[in-house]
Amino acid sequence: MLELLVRFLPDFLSGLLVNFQIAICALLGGMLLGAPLAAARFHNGLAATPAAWLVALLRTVPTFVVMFFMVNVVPDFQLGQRHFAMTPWLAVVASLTLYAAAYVSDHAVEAMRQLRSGSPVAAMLFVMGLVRAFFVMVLSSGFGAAVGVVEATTVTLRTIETLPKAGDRLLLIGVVIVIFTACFQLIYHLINHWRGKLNQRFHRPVQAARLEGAEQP
Amino acid sequence: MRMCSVEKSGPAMRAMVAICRLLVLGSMLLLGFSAAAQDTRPPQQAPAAQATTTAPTKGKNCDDAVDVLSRVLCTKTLRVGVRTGYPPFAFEDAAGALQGFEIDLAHQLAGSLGVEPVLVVVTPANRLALLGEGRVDLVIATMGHTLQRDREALFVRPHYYQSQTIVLGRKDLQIGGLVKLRGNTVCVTVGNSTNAELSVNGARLKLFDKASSLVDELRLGGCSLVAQDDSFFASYLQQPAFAEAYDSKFGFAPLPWGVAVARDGGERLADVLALSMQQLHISGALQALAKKHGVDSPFLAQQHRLWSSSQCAQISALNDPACVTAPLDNQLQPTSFAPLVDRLEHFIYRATGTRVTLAMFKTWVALDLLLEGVWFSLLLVMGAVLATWGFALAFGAGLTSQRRWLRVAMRCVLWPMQSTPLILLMILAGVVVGAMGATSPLVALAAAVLVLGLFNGSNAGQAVAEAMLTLREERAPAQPALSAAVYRARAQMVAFVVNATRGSPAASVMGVPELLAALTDVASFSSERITTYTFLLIFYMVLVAVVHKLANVWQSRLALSGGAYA
Repeated sequence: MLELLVRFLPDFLSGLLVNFQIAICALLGGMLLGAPLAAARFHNGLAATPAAWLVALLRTVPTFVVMFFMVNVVPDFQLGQRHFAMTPWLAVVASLTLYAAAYVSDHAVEAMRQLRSGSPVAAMLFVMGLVRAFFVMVLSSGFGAAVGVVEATTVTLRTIETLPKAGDRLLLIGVVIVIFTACFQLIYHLINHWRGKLNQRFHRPVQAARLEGAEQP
Repeated sequence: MRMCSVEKSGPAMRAMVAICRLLVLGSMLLLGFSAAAQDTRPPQQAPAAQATTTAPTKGKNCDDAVDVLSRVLCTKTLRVGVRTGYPPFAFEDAAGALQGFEIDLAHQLAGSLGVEPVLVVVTPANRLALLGEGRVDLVIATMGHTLQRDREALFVRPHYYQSQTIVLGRKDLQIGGLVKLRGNTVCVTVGNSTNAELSVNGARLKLFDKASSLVDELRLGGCSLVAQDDSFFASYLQQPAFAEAYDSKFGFAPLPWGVAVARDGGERLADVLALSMQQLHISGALQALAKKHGVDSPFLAQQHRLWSSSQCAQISALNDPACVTAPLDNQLQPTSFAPLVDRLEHFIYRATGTRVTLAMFKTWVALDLLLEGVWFSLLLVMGAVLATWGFALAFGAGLTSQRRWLRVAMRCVLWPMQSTPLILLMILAGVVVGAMGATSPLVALAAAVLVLGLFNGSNAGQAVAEAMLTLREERAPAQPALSAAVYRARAQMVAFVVNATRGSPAASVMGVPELLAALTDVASFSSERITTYTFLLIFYMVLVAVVHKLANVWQSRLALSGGAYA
């Protein structure tokens, strides 16, 4: 098992890098799409209702199914001079972008309202929420394993398949879960720590609305 | 051109070759006379047809011949539709010349007729159309002989090759057979009829447009197992590096390959070619040709023995079911209302201009998969919602329990749930279920419900626990009820219940036959993906919207009766 781990870990880490790349791209895409939607909803103009409808639609989007839909249905497309093929990687980014857009829109509207009512902490907590959403998307990018993106889960799955004994398979998955848990709990605790600091700095009541919570897409 | 020739053949083989040539020429003469006797064409065409069998001359009259054999003999050319880019069967060499098993076979058959072959490159998409339009005289283009293709072309029997679908993967993977595929992901090309067999046996299918993508994915690690015709992998398995890393696990669905001629006017050519093919099998020339190109197979050895036997070595044996291989019937049984579905598709097209193909309603296999998928999806979502709810309460209570060990135990479960990709948890559950020897879809469903419930319920439970802690701070020293914490954390509860619904299709990775898995299977053999995946997306979006609505109704009712909790 030790020998296997020595071979497995470098591949796993390079796979994890792909997860981070996907999450970064999806979050950037989500901000580009979500920010105008949030602005439209916040300013209550003509575009407010269609924007609200669009965000409501985005909230119902099942990321996993959208990913399959994009891989199988969306044809190659041209953007300016560049030709894009709907690769599995792009499909995962696009499907997570939809989730991120709804998240950014919802939370940006709330942050803008709080800012208008004179509470800068909510706006700052929005940034913290984005950081948390980013890590949630790192985990969710594991869905890419189902469509052929070679990321951390795919690497794990590929190694598991080579192990004939169920015990070894469980052990390897256990190791991976421990790695994920150690890394991500550390990150979550850091986020919570900063959140606490922000609360203290701006005297925010403990039971105030927790904007920064992000569920998995 | 040599006919029935074998490299390095002995005296016995040379005698056989001579006999075979005599037989083919004799039969051509017989067919020529019988054609003249049975000719029912207009008087102005009859002399041309006679000219083809007696004194062949090239010219306009040759091209006017309705009978393909007459035209071939008249023009002294045989236009053969062949593929390219499919080594070692047909491919271009460095000089751009066509090479391969089928190319050599085309030369052999043209030689048996005493004419020059003219090779016309065809594709799987246009080979039958070109044959029907008379732009080629015959097709030797890796074409499997199926009952369905019998309607479009006349297949020469005996067949010249037989392929089968093989499941290929890395050498370190142990896959015993078709029934051992349950739960494994197999990469396939869309439209392959054998995909239905894989999905019926519980394999999860990943779809690709081109066969070459399968090899790319295999090398990149995106696919562990791929299924495709063994003829496609023949050239790859001849490469030492590829053969070192991958091997064929097993094969299924044998498919005989046939030389095809046009249904209209191709009958006599088919008869003559059948005789040539019989002699190629008897003499072993076909097997030698296959060996030369590295595609020898047990089928060719078996055909050599069969056609050399006393029963099948006769001309009359060419119609004997005991000698000729039957075509494959890969037609899926249509539903009783398939014509109605066709009419509906036409109606939608006329009304909207959009082509919709409702493949899931057209065959019983697809419909069964669809209904099973819908049923499992509904069960999965209901189970996931209830489990999320139940685990949220359990985690809410456990994380705020007075007992320290319970709080620690709950945290030990909560942390991995918050930090591990859902899909990895699904895979873990799949391994556990597999280790227990349970392969039933219902067991997989139960495990998936458990994972979805734990994953979302633990997060929702944390929200409930946090709400409970703030309530305790506010109401100390009174002990607030769990229901009050649930009321306070209701928005998070709704969010995670909806989240469980959205995440439920991920259960397909552990073998739950829900709608995503079912429709992927349907798409794999129906070749239709746009309508199928659009239907799937709409189904899940509606399902999420319904659960969202119901959860909001619950939240509103809770708010109305909020006084009781708060």
